[in-house]
Amino acid sequence: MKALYKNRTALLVFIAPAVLMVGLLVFFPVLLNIYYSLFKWTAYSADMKFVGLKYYAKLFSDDKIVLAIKNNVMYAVVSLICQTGLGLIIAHLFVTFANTRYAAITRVVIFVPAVISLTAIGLLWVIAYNPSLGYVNAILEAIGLGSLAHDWLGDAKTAMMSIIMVSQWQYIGEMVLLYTVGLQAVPTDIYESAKIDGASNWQTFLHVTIPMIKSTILMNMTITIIGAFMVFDEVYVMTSGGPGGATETLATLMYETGFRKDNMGYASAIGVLLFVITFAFSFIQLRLYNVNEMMGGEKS
Amino acid sequence: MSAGSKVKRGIVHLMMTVYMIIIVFPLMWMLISGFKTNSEIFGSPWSLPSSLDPKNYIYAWQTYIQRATLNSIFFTVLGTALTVIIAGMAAYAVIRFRMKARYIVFIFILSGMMLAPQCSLIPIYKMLGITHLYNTRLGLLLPYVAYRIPFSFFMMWSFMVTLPIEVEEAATIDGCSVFGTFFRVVMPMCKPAIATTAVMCARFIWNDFAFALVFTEGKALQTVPLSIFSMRSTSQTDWGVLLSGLTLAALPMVIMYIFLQKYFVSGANSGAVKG
Repeated sequence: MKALYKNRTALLVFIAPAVLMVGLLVFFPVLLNIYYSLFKWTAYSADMKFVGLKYYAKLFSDDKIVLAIKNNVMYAVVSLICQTGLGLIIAHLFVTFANTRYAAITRVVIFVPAVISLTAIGLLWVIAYNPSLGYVNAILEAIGLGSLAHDWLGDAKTAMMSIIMVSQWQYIGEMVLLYTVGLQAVPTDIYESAKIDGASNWQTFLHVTIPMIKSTILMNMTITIIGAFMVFDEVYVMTSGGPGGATETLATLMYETGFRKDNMGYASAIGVLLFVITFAFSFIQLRLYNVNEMMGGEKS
Repeated sequence: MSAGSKVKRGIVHLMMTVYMIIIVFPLMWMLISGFKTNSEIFGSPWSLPSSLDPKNYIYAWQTYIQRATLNSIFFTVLGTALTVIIAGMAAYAVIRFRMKARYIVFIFILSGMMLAPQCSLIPIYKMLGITHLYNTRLGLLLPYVAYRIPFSFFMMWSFMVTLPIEVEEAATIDGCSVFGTFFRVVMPMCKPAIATTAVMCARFIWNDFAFALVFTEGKALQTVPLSIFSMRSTSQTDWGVLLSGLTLAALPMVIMYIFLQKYFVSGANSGAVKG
């Protein structure tokens, strides 16, 4: 690539703000988090007592952490099935069978919840799930499933799943949209030839479509998994981790430990654990962007 | 079209209609129930409000949402503008300046995308405390901008890299400074990328809950998501007011989405489809 400018002062002015902000507020906190996790400290006192790896040892024997990870994993699995799996099937059906205009309208409508804040959506569903004023139980009764009706968020057995389903309601539409672009990019003559070979719709989907959009699927899977491990807003807003800690996730547990129980050192250790998990998947995701190829291709 | 595929199309259309109802019903229910009195809400979730008296909406707006909306507009507009300019400048520098560390700078900023903001709530909280930026406008604005830079940089970079260098060369020959060329020639050419980047930034900042929860306290800096969350605890018994507040909180983004749909769509896609 040809360089247009050689002015070093101007260069500094152009890159320093971005580099400094990303360095100081995105990268540095990660290191600081590791440092803070080695000390016992509270938010309102300057005292910091070095405890070494004590909190990490605690991480692995803490039942609350195990439950939180379980909840995060459940979040990830359900989201993978509904968003990356069902989302793909829905997108495929829309593209293959539906009237183009009607499909476009549907995609616009089902994306709406995804632009609204998790906080507003979460609170809406808190009311919807409420046994005395919401519509969830009322709908169940109307379709003859009244026996299932109960306090969805108040029951430790159903609370987590109820939160997870809200997230599916909110985000499947976005996934459908993401897949649609990938599906529309598949050249139609491939489908024609599959048809001539006598492949059924289902066979074509499995053996032609899926391999063609493999990279989109992989990307959507990593996005979904990262999202599932970062979950904070909707859980905090809907149950604050309750009832009895049943819906605690890593992020809410970190918040709870740090800002409610004022055990900042342990909260930092939870933050580091959260970092390791999300970083691993983000790393895979960034590999899928193919940065090297991008810069390499542009260099030559 | 064969009979078989007509049937299939019919089934898919039916599915689409049901899906749209599943999405629209809760939102309409929220909008309509916002007009109900408390006794009507407890009466039946199916009943319609006896009057369309907007007193819940007026009360929710005046007591909670108005101030919060102003705060949210402040953070969203300023944060988005700063992000676009800072990310745009960095992207431009990586493309057009002679720089040995070009690749390192590129990877450095881009790698920021790998770090989830949730993990760093505690260290940033502490940093803001040490620098006396906790619970200040700047203290919330800076993390918003910093966490939006990597993705915005990527968006701006992918667009700028396709721009023809000749236009800028001509501007330089005409005596335009680096800054003049960037702001008056390059940025105007980047309008589509800027629109998509800005919409993504605005969506993130407007909807953020975690940063605002941890980096601010009290009513003065409360953004919309925090204000509706605090409504829940303070107006716990007044569900009509809460529902109208939720509707008011959701509305700005939905309206923005209706008008700027194509940028929401391209933004969502750029995050997922490989460059």
